[in-house]
Amino acid sequence: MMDISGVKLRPAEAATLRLRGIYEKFGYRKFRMGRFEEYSLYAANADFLKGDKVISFTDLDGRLLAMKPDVTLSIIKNSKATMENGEKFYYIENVYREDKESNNFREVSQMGLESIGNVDDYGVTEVLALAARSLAEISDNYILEISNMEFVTELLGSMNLGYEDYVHMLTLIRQKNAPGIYKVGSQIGLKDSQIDVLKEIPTLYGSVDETIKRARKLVVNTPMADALDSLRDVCGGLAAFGMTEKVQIDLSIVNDIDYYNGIIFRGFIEGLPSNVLSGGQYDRAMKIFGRKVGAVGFALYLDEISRMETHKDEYDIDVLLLYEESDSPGDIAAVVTKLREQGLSVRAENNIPGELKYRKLMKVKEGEDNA
Amino acid sequence: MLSIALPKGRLGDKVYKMMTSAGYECPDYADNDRKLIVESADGTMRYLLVKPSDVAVYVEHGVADVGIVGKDILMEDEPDVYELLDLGIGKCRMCVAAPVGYEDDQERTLRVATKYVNVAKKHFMEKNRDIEIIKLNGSIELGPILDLTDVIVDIVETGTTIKENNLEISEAFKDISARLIANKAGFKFKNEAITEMVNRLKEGMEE
Repeated sequence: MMDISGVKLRPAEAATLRLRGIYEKFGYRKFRMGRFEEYSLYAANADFLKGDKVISFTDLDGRLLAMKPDVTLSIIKNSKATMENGEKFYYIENVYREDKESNNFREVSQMGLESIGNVDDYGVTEVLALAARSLAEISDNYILEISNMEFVTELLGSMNLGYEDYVHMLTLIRQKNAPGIYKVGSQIGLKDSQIDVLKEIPTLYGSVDETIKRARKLVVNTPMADALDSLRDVCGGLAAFGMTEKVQIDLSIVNDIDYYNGIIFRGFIEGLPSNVLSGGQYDRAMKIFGRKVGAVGFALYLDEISRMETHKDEYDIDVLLLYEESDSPGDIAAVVTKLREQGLSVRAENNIPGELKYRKLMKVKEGEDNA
Repeated sequence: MLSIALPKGRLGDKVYKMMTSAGYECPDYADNDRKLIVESADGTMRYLLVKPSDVAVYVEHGVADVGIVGKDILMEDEPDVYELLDLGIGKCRMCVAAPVGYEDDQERTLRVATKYVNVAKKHFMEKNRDIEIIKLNGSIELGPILDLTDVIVDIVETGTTIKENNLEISEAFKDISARLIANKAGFKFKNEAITEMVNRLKEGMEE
């Protein structure tokens, strides 16, 4: 735990503070958003949210609003960035999402970073480096996985699949379901050579150079080769930032194809069951909103981090100072001050709180003698 | 240590046999009537013996790194996990069954008894058929017999139960078998151990 003037911070709180410092040193500004958004934004973009369940309500002026289930859509809608005038900012916000298991809405705390404008390979590299730094601040045992989803989408694009088969194949690739890919590939009449390539996608993960080398053998068109080149370039950039040791490639990561494009990534911390960070380029989403700019960013799920084991103090307090009616406020205050000066935490009470775990019980008289 | 979630019961016993011949043995498994966790002698792995429908839950939440679960449960719950291998055992089919001689009246809402609510919904939505689902947790065949529903959606292995209850399969729409699944984070951090398990199981199946 990080200790700031006696306050013991939880891992998520400590990470938030340290990361703000790092982001600001790279020129990202903090951005505070409103909590509500027009409901229609989410109704029209349910695919982006992977669901259409939002908390909606009618505002006093009659407009239908929603509690934000997501931050990125609001950013896309409201950003003023242009190719000439880029924007770089970060946020710490609560969003409201469906929890499938309990069938309730849940408040989710997330921190994120976005870069919008003329985003080139360096722009992507910088965001990737910040993603890796963010993970490193939380734990030494992390993995940042990077993909260029054009590799898979260009491969599938070359096979002329119908929409449903295309989406089905993407799902199987995400699940690393090689037997399923084989079966569905045969059912929809793909050639053996095509199935053989698709079947390999789930295994395309591991260290950067070695995985790109294996992927090269599966390239069937120029865009796929370009995808691998840009992946190699941004990973090369990461090396210059000193962040390659825990970076891996996994070409089976594919996000929603309507909104995302290019480089996408995910961060894992050992001991936590799902990814704590996810991000990528979303130029396509900007285009849906009529904006011709590049965009890349990521979100860090603070609730996931707060599940990390932390050392719980055995005691709530060092000294429970028990005073009586006869003790004057001045005497009590003097003992509290003395104990505080010795670096001890003190709670002064006129009776013993039932739940409190204290290291030592002291009366005002003893305090005056000892201190 | 690698944690493996196994479904308790008949399928679990079959899977355990496969795991043993692939070299993943836990001598304590034999007297597993009461035990929920059995560990290997060298302490490198353990089995969690859980209710079949809970296997994916343990894996998705990361307390088990891998698990073996029926495709029917994966279709119903759609957990966010990797599906690495089809073990080819516990084979059956997801079916719509109706009383012998039943004729579907397209003008009425079809009443469906099932424990696979999501699977049934999705299947009939793809066919653009309006349905009403009645969720049952067992003895699904009673639905049409008592005229609670018109049809059932359930997994069928041999078809004996269906026949005995004077029902017949009107549509078999998905092949079901046991699958090896893995937690997405566990797959990264314990990749070597998990990949080795996949390969050894594959070898065992080819023999």
